Amino acid sequence: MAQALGQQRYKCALAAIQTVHAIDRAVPIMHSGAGCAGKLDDSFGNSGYISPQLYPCTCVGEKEIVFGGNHKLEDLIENSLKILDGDLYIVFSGCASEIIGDDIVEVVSKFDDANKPIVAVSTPGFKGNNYISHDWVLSAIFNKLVQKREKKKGLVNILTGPPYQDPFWEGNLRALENLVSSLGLIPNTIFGHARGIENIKKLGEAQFTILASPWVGYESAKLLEDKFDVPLLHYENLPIGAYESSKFLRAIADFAGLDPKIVEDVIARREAEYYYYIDRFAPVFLELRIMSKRFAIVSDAQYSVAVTRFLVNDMGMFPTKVYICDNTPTLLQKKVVESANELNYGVIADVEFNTDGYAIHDEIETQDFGGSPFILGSGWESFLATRIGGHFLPISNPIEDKLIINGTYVGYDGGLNLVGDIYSVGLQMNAVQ
Amino acid sequence: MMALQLHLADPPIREERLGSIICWNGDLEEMTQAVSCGKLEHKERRFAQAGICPNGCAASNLLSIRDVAVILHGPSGCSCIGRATVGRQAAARINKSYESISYGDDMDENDTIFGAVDSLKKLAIDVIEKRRPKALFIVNSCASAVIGEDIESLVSELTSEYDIPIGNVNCEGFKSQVWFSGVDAMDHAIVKTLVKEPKEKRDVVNFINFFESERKYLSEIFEKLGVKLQFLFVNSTVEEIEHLSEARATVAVCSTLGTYLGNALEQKYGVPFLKTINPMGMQGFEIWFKGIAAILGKQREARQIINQEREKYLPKIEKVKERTAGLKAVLAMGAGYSYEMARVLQELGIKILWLASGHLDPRQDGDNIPPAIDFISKNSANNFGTIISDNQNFEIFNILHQNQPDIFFSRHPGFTVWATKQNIPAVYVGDEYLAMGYKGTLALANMIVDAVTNRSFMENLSAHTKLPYTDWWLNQNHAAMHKEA
Repeated sequence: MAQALGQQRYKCALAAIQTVHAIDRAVPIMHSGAGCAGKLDDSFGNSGYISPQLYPCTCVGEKEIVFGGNHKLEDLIENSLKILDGDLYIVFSGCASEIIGDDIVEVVSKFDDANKPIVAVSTPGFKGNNYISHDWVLSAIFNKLVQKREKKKGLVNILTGPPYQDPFWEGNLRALENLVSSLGLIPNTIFGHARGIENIKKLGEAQFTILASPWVGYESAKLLEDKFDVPLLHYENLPIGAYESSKFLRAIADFAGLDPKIVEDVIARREAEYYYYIDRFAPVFLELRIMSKRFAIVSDAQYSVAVTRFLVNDMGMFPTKVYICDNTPTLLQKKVVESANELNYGVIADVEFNTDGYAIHDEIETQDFGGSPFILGSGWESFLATRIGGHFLPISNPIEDKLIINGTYVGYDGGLNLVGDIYSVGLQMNAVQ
Repeated sequence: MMALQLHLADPPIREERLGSIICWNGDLEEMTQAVSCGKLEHKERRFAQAGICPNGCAASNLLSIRDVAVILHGPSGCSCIGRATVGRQAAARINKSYESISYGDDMDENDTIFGAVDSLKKLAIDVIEKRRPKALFIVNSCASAVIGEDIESLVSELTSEYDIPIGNVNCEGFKSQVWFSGVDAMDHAIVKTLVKEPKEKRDVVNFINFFESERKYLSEIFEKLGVKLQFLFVNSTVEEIEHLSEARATVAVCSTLGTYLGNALEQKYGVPFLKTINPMGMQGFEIWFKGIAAILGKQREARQIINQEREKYLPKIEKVKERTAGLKAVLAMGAGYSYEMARVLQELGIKILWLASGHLDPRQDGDNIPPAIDFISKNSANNFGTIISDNQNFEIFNILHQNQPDIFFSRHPGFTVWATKQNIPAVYVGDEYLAMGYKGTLALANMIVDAVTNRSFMENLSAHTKLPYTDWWLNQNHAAMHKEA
């Protein structure tokens, strides 16, 4: 059923082109309107080896609506292989081509003999949002490229939320790799610099997969378990800061059957370093004149859970309310609420699932922050913060006034980055008030 | 050519109305000859790259108005029309608040089978009653168009119940291959829904532009001509738009942008629309400014301003021109700006090798040849390659590769990097006022000198990146994917 989407934070299923964009040398081919690529793959950092301006597209027009576009798609794929040098080609369908009944799977099957892999994935915008379609495109790619292989000891796949939809995606993956490496394991990720198709093929050789995400990405990670015998550790949080990172490392060690002593040594070393820095800066956190201890979050499940747990369990703060706007499927909402509430000292996070940002803002305006309001979320929340004289830090899509190049809030160092950014916001406000 | 059919539910698209095309290859002389005898044939492509859709264009332009609500009836990708950053920044520059709001209705699979006008109606009522916008526009999408949703009836129903203007824009993405058709659809809806009958003539000139970065300067020089400027649509309000019919004249910074609205106001309310080249460069500024002064009867004041500008900037321009003259350039811009910019570059002694324009309108709505094309066809220093290419990166990339110009100019977002990675200096002409008048010409000239002088960033980047096009493609003619008609 249609619902009110006010101040949009996600996009439609076809925005899974961004997932493919994050795979080095993969080329999205679009059987859609001309404008879909530019609109859906519009995040900062969207150039690189290829950019949405280069995606082959059938540019569906009135003619295709009337006569069908299968033939045009076939021509397009044939020439895409000749013109663009890629390792992997993914054919996406859009709303119009699906409604008129074009069959991309059949068209793609004509290229079974091509010397590069081509995968078809049905992604009409009306079929869901890009948090869900991220899973569809990964499943389609895994089905095509991954094979059941002999397992390599210590090799661990790491998956998390959708690239680009998560503006911190690349920094997050590198930070998760660091955490996994610190235990003596070998991380395998598929997105970003120098990963790509070879790493996708290695997915089947891993000892297990870690999915660090409340709910997004489960279907494709589970496929690796069910079809390719790669066991899944579904860790329902993206770890930020010392408390959550240590918990994460223990969960991995436990799942991998590592010697607890090794893990505890790593944790002790990392925590000592982390708290050395916290100690030096603690007076700022304790005494900043105008920052209260209460915060509101308006974000997706991944950042709502991760940042709530960090701010409560690491920094001793309190959520006024947590708004999750990613259209989390109803059946999964209970688990997300539970994960957001893994909080110390009986602190409770009041979680609401809502896609209408205007309604959320109305409510936040009435909340008691015990001082100047502090809101974490997307760029939309910056307008709210300005209006009500609060502090604001962007943590999730859309972020339009900050460039996140390889930045991350994940892990021990990531926690320091986040706390540094939060109090920098406070310091700027301090100067003017 | 027929007059604009302002009574229709939607305007005919540019392909039907103006004979617009998005694919053609030749040179300036061939093109202008074909334009003048109406024989410009569109070609199909065997391979194309993604571009821009008219739907998003209409919706996001509506949101540059400061106090409206826009509901996009479609899946969540279509309604993802951003946070109106430009509108907000522009409002902040003049100390006004931006109050417009945007909603999508997240159309899903069920809705494509059973329709979703009922839930759209609920949302629209909710938005009108709770958010109290000054006007509401409902924009359709590919999905809602293919399943035949009747938004117009809903709009009539709502109009009878509420006392704010409510309009609809039917411009689904597949309807036109020319994204400017989206601007026309929006202008059509605005003239139908918002603009009121004139009560009095006012000393105001409607000024159609994109981002109004020279608002202050323009306001000052037009004040000397005795008029205030009504900038459209960034920073405009519903109340201001209601009075467009009372203006002394309409001018546009880009006639490709302004053709529909300018001619509609002329046709329906007798507000003259200035049909000349735009104020970019030196000749452009003089012809354009004298043109508007003539309508206002202020030729003397205009000459005075022009003389002041010449005195102030011409000696500096002549000096920097010593360094721009002789450079060879390729440029890729919109259907109007490409020819406007070609004229400006020739003023700086730059030789155009190839020009790529995003589409071509052989005629505009006033039944005139686009002024910038008309001007350059009569005044160009040389004949040059001309391709109509709707942001087709692979064609422009190929032209750059095979011609190795000294410099590339682009107004297509995301294109300059592809020249830079080929070690060709690139200038992004994102701001429509970059080269306006004598002052802007000097700024552009300096920017060009900078771009060809410090090549560090370009050389660093190009040395560390690999290009995605195959050698096979780079050795083809850039028009090799055009089908024979």
